[in-house]
Amino acid sequence: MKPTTLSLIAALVLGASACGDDAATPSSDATDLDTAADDAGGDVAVPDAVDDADQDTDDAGGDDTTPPDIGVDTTPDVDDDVAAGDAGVDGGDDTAVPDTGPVDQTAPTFRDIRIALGEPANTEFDLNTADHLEHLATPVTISARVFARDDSPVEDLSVALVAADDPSTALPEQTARFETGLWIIEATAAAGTDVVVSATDAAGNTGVSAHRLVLPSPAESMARTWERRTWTSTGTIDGTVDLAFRDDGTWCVPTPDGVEAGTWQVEDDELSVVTIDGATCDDPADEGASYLTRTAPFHVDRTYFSQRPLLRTEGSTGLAGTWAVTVVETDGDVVREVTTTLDLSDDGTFEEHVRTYWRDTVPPEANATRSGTWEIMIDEHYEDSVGDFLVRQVLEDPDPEAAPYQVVELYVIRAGRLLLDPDLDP
Amino acid sequence: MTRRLLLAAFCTPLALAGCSSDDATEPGADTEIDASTNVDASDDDASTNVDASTDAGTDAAVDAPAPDAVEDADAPDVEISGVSIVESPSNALAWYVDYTTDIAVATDVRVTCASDDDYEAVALDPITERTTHSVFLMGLVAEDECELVITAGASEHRESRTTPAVPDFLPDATIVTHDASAAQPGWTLVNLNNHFDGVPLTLAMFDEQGRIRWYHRTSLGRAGADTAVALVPEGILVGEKELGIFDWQGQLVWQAGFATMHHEARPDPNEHGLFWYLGVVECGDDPPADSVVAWNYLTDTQEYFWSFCDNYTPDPIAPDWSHTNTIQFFPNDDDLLISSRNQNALMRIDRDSGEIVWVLGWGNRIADGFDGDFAMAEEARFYQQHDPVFVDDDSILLFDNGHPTRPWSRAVQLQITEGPEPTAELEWEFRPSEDIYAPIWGDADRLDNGNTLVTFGLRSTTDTTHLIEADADAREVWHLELPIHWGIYRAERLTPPSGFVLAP
Repeated sequence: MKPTTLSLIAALVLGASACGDDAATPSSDATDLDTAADDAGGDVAVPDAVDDADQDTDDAGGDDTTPPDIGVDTTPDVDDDVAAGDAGVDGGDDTAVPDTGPVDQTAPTFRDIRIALGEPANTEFDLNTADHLEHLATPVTISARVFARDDSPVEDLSVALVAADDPSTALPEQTARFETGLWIIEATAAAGTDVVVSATDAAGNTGVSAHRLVLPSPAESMARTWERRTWTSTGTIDGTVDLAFRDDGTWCVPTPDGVEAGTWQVEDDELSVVTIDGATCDDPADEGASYLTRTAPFHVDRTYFSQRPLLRTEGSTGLAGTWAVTVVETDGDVVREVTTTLDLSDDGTFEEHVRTYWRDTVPPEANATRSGTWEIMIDEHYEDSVGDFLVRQVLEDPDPEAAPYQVVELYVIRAGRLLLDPDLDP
Repeated sequence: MTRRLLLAAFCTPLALAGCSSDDATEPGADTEIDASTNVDASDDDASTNVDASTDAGTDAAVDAPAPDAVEDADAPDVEISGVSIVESPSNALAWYVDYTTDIAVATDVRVTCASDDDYEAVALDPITERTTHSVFLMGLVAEDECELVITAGASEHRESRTTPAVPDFLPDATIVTHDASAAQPGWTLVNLNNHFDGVPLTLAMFDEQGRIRWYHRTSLGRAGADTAVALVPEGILVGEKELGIFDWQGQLVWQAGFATMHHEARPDPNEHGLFWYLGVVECGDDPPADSVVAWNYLTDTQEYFWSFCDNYTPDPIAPDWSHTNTIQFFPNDDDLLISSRNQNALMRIDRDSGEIVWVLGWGNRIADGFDGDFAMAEEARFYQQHDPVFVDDDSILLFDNGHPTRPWSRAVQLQITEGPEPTAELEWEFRPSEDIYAPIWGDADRLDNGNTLVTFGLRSTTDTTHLIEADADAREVWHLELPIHWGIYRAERLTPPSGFVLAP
């Protein structure tokens, strides 16, 4: 039972993070995690230094030849970078050249960068030691809290969220303010753009965060093998199949009768999935075969993928309300629009209406309605810790012989979308 | 190996018996520095000390004798400058403080907030070799006037600030009961869950007044809801399928993914770096069953494995039949105690042979007459229990969740007698005056003063989560209630660190 991923974040334990700062841990024992302590630089103290502070010993870290600073230090503490600049300026004729101060050639650095993403990602992370990957179907609000450092006043910096591949391009809808010592930047981020933090001082020196927020395009985010689950009436997993969306634009999924397969593409925030008769996982694009194309909004994030999420049309933030989705189906020459509207009332009743509208076909539409009661069933099973269950007792159905019956579906709400039995990144 | 000296200054004992429960002072969005005074004992040069890097020239520095320092003739005169106070990016109730001294000197930094002056965030730096100093201070009170004091030799530097409100994504807890004279001092660390509103798994500490004093929103996307939370030397171990250790600064210092991990990640009491977790394994033609794994996060190696597959066959056998939720340790030997919720039973496992030595509780085989190995009176019965722990050599404290046929929960302590005719007798229980039924989560911890902290954890759209501390007489002495939708799987009462010295 090995970990699926494993990362030792030694730099933070060391206090030698990539953003140039010194983090600490609650105990010096933490340094046992340190796999790179010897790289931490010569300016760190070793535990023995506590006892040896008054001795001219070589225990004070890497600065072995320098006696400890004891007594009066008459030399002003000057930042090394500033001092370097001073040397260049002050080395000349002070009477002939106005003293304009040190030349600032040092770019700002970052001590701590904290990023919060709004719905649907709804997560928070740092960019101190590693890149962060997030899958988005829709643009999100992004809020960065940046602890920057510079040899000029930090509040005078220009700090921004920018595209990683073009730092001159700031993210849209961006605001920045300085408070409590932090730069707080808010913007909108969309899939397909990697994001970094940049800071520029008055002298024009620019520092860019060592790590980035990676936001793959929706198509890139979809190209995974998803787990499609079925559930028992008590909410335990009944069965699973793997749904493969490949980055070559093909897909396939095993079925009880064999396999379904075809092609897919994302265009204008909609997903088109083509099911091709006779296609297999190895040969999904059998030219000349009949096919069915379904085009609809979709949802993808770190955990969930839904080909046809219901979009909220009325209601508050909870499950109750009215939800709807329209799927355009092209079956040979026949094109139809299938609109499903699900009304979950506060009184515990529901009505689901399916309207099918055929373009250029008579009769133009058909309607079907089922109704009954609904409730939430809390997911108690740890294998399924990905959502709770919408349980519907169907009391009336277009097929009078069918009702009553029960429907149990995993549900998740993301960014105003109701995902029913979404496919999961296992 | 060069090691960085990391000093943890622990807060003064949280003896807050007389604490006011008053709310924080007037909220103020303005977190600008209110005052900044650089005090020097002997230097009467009234030079103005402006910290351009942080204060934008707003702090006026005045040199004057430090009241407590003038008595110390040996204390050097020190100029403290460049003081920078920056809010932690991940926690508005913590500060990074950087400053320099004109001579290398030991320093200390303290922060006290007006509405809780019994608490000091402290970072003591005994290193006398540096002039550049950096500390991290935590546990401040939201929307309060907090004063920072840096002491270096005979000098002091003082600044005041108003702290911001905690972010909107954190819940407002309600204190139902607080008998300060009887409650165990300390703060309560919890893992906050709010799946219904899509809130990321969040760590938080509540003080006795129900105020959040520390928090961190985690980046663990697949942490699930039934997540253990435990202290390790590096920080807080939390998560599930995604498991991480966050230090008090909110930095993720270790992370791993365990595909089947659930419910438990408990540090070994004797070996640093080792923790125990529950997994799931395939059992041939039978449904999958739980496993017990010991994993070392220092070496990234598995050090122990055990599974139900070869050691226990329930009747009936059904999906999720074991649903184990806790691994504990016997006080005087290596055996393991595990809690199987869906068997309504605790089991003793011989760590070496893997044999299940005994079963305490109903088991799930009532139909065929199986009733565990211990004779139990009805009052000692427990259902779908969580988090058992030995409170002495032969007493086990646990959270008894109850069952739809017995829909109320309690903390219960059983005295067990092993041997030829084992018995389990009710030794103590706490059942709230108004019943609470928490069917899926829960925790019961014995505190230092003998009280018991009970977590009635819920994930519900209709009922709320309660943390209740009861004394030995089963009297409620502290009670915190969360808003609807918010749940807690486990809670830990602790005295947290209050500050750290960072290597500059």
